[in-house]
Amino acid sequence: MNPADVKSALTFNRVSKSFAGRTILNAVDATVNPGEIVVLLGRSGSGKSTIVNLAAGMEQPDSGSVVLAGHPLAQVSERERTLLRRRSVGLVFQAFNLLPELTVFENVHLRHALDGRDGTKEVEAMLAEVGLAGRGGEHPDHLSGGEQQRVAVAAALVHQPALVLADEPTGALDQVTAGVIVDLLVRLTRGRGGALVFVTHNPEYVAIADRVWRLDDGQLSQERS
Amino acid sequence: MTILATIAWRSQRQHPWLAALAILGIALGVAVATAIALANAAARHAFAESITGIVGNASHQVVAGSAGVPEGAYAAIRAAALAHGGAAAPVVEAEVALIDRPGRTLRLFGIDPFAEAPFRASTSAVQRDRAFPLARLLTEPGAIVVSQPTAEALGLSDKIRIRHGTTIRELTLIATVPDDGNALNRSATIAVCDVSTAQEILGRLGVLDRIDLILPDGEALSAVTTALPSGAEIVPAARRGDSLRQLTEAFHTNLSALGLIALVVGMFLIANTASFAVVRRRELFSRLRAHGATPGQILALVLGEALVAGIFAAVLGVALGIALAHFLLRLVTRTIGDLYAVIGPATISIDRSIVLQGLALGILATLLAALWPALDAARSAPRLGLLRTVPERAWRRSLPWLALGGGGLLALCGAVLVGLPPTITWGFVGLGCGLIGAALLVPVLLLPVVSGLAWLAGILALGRHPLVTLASRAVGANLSRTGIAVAALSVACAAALGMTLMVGSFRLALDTWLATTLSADVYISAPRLVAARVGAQPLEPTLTARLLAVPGIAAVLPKRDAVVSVTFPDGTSDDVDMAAFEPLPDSRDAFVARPAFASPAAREAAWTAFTGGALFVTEPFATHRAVKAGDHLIVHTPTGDQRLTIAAVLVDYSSDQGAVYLHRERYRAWFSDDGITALALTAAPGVEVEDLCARLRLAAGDAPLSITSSRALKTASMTVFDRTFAITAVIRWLAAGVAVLGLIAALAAVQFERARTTARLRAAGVTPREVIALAVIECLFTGLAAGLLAIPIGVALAAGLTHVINRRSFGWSMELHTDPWQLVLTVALAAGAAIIAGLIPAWRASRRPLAEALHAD
Ligand SMILES: Nc1ncnc2c1ncn2[C@@H]1O[C@H](COP(=O)(O)OP(=O)(O)OP(=O)(O)O)[C@@H](O)[C@H]1O
Ligand SMILES: [Mg+2]
Repeated sequence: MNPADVKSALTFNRVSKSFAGRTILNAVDATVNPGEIVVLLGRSGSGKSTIVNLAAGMEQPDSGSVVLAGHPLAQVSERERTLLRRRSVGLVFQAFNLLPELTVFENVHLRHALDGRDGTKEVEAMLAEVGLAGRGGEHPDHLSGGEQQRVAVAAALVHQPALVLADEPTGALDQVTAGVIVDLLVRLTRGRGGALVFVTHNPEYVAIADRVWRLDDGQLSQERS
Repeated sequence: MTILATIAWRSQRQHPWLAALAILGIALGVAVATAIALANAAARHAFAESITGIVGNASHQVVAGSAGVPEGAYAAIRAAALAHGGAAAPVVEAEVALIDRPGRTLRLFGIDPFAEAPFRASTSAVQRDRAFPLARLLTEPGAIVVSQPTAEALGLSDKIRIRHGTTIRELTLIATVPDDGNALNRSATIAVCDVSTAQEILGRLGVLDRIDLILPDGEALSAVTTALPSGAEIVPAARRGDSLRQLTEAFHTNLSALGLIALVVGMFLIANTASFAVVRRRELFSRLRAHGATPGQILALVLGEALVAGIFAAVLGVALGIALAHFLLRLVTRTIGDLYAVIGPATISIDRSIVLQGLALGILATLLAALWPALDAARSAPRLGLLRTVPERAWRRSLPWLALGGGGLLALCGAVLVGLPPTITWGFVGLGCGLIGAALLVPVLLLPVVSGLAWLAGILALGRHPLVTLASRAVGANLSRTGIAVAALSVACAAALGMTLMVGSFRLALDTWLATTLSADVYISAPRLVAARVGAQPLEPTLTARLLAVPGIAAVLPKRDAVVSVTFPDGTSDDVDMAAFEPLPDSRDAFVARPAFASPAAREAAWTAFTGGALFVTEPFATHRAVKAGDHLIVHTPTGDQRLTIAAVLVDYSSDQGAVYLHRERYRAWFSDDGITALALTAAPGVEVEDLCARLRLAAGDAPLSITSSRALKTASMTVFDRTFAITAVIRWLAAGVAVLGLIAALAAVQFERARTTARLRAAGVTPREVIALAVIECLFTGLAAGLLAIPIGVALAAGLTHVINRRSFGWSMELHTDPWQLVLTVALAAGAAIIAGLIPAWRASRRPLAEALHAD
């Protein structure tokens, strides 16, 4: 482990992954520094979501190592990986982020609750920041797609994670709403000092990036913006 | 973790009646097991009390056939017993009919209150009560005492009109004894009275039915023996209770086995419910894992749910079980009463250990069954967004293991049945292995069977229809959710089929046997099976002469039942039942040998040997005593030991303990005994059998004889048989009911879960009616497959019950008769259950507003 890893929010060391004999990632090296915003571009099926899953410890690489907030994921138990994800990672996907069984408040509060911590104040503050103050008692099923994504953003950031992974969080939204969600993500992540990996196939979002990753044919190319 | 509890609660609340069905399924399993245990315990208790209530602590009894023991001999016998530290008490007893309660009887039990104390806690406890009107009991004509429960059960008032033989009398109920838990209260419907009262009512003045004795040692025995009047003999008293106890044990074992089958079915259902509850919420668990819930937290969530459901279901199940027990108890006690002896009104006492057992069973079974699905849930991969993994794959992967486990258990079943000692316990273990093994194979075989059915549907030109194609695919895809429930249905149907075939075969065998065996027209014997068995009540010669003088009798076959001492080939000795008779040449056909005689010549040879002094033994005797044709038994007779060959083993369903047969001429010579215990009469041509019976009854007068036409005897036997198996029918339908309920829950759950698919189909233009048709076709495939798989399992189970369990517990062998109608019925039952199970949710899905259904997450 080199000393740079300790400081980084996320490091991929020669990570390879294939599914059913098809190589999706081929010895990928990459680093996300604390507080940095990375935009990940790539065609559909190129392996973007796979990178997110590997980064969150939800999938294991065939070879190479993933280091999350200083912790090499392959060297810790499934339980520790989970706790790491709970405390250090925020996740926003295109849809189905929320548990329909829980209210808006409970969804945002979930990570605190799983940890046995209180966090009521943080949740209230977060809901106010995403513009859903006073709507914590509602059920996600009854919200619009945009509102659901606001809840997802709130849930992904309420515990001040070192790394936020957003996998096409605007994919199912109209342009205006999408803009609002992206603004929220960027503003809140920066405000809390976290890093953000933003997955999209819309090149326009390059504007928000400190760094851009392009995924093509299993290779990751990086460029500063 | 309150958040996990919240999630569990809300995710269950989304489908409240799936949760309710699951809890009901478990509860029914617990209920059946608890009810059988409670009813069994109550019946056993009542039975034991009845026996001690009647036999008491007596070690021996003085009896003297139907004539009875002269009362004059009592003083000398009592003196002899007392002189050697023993005790003696006189008994006069008989069954009397209650005129105001047609069909009900009261056992009049005449005793000497002053001699009772050492014998029956029941009758003597009555007198310890200061307020007890002892003087009235001793002096008042017709004064009786009954227990409170008996009085209530029979609705007795102060004046009770009874009939004995042809005499009608009125008795006075002078007191009822409160239910203080002593034996009298729980035992048979007994009315206690003074000896003299009983003698007077029964017309047996100066005669005792028996004298109960407590003889501490051999010296006391010989002292009393010398005091015996002529015609009287001493028999050990314990035999009666013991042999009865053995008899009922077999019955209880069979009943418990049925309870076990119900429980196995219940366990399968719990497992299915739990695993479906996990599969149904795969997305939930994956999302929770993505948000940082650890595997341990998911495990806790699922097991916590199971624990709560288990507690609910166990409590409900025990409550249902207690209610059910009252119903079962009536059947059980009636059966035991019919089969073996008088038994009193038994009551369910809520035995705390059985209740705790039921609760523990429900909770533990639920947790155990939920463990595998819970581990499965804990292993869910963390995922957000739409799930890509197909749960069916995990199911397919487990099929080889199921096949391996099932095959292994079947092999074990074979090994246990063939390789281990042929005891009833091993029989049950083997059969249990076979049943569970077969159940494990069912899910493996379901897919091929369903494919076969779809192929068949194709041949029937239905296959082109897109709905049929869709349905047959869906069945395969849904097996991960329904496989275990379908297996449970298969096993339950198989269990029901197996029991039905076994009982049917047994009934047929018994019917055939009765038809050939009861070749005479009228049977006369001492009234009680038990008394006859002890062999102590020969018909008096004068009575016999009187009976045989009745006009219209063409032929007479006298029989002597006795208990004789025998030494077996292995050197051990025991008392066994012997029947000595001389069959009419043309009634020899009624005796079927097992194994069958090799040729008519062999058959002739066997009968020639029998006439010359060889023995026949009945099949149960051969089984229990491990002897076969060609073996030798040493029969101890007053004229010396006789080493006799067993000429053949004969089929006989009359007793499950078995007997040896000896030619009556040999018996008379060796035992110097002319006594007769039973007579079989053939009516002369043109004589109405019922008329003959009536004339015989008239001639018998007050003598306690049973005089029955062969037709009535046969009907009575079949009635007893049907009652015996009424309870098994109830239980097997309960087991099937549990399974059907479980399947309804499982299929309904699948249909509910597919609401989104259904909505898509409807959006694509499939009509509500077609949606229902699709579900019905799908469930029909599933049900047919379950029913078809139940057939081989059921037939195998029937064979096991017939050739292993019945053979080992009763020693009776019979042909297995496979009634094709029952096979058809089984498949129809399974298919019908499946269709009902699928119809409800499909109907709901078809009516749901489309927009709502399409957007449901
Ligand atoms: N669990 C899995 N099992 C099998 N194949 C998988 C799995 N996960 C991903 N793949 C395959 O890997 C490839 C990359 O998938 P991935 O979801 O990472 O692509 P993506 O870049 O996110 O595409 P999109 O932009 O469409 O979301 C795809 O071809 C996909 O089929
Ligand atoms: Mg993707």
